[in-house]
Amino acid sequence: MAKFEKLNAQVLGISVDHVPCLKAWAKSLGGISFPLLSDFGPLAAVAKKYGVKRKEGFSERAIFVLDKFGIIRYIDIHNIKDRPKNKILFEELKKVIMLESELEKVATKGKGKAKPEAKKKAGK
Amino acid sequence: MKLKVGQKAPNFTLPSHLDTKVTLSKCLGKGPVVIAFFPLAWTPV
Repeated sequence: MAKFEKLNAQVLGISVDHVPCLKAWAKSLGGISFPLLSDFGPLAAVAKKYGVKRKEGFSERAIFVLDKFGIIRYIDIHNIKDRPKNKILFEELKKVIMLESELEKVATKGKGKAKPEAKKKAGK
Repeated sequence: MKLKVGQKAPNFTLPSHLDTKVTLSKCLGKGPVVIAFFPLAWTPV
């Protein structure tokens, strides 16, 4: 988690479990410092919004990296049995941060006229 | 509906295990946000 903080990134975990279940689970893992969010009611509404709700009612194992403007920069919908690789995640995060600083330069030059979409990189 | 890279992420507010309510739009602005959906607690993440 310190690695994420260094990059000024926030992590949000989301599942369809309800809050007491997430609390117990976090405790069993020795505490989790980032928020685990309960997408319980209405069931999996957020997963549905993001297009990652499975027909079984829970979500895919999926990662969305957003830049600070809320634009999606990376999507990884993972095999449900596998853990996503942290290394890949950090590489993507660094790309997002580099892109953000580029955007800020453009925004200051163009007096805020630059749209975040303008410099969008082709997604994988 | 599937989201694509370059689209704006839909906003949400959800309760967290830390007894706080988290709203995505309030998390933005400071830096990137990683949203990790996982299927169910008590399964390997």
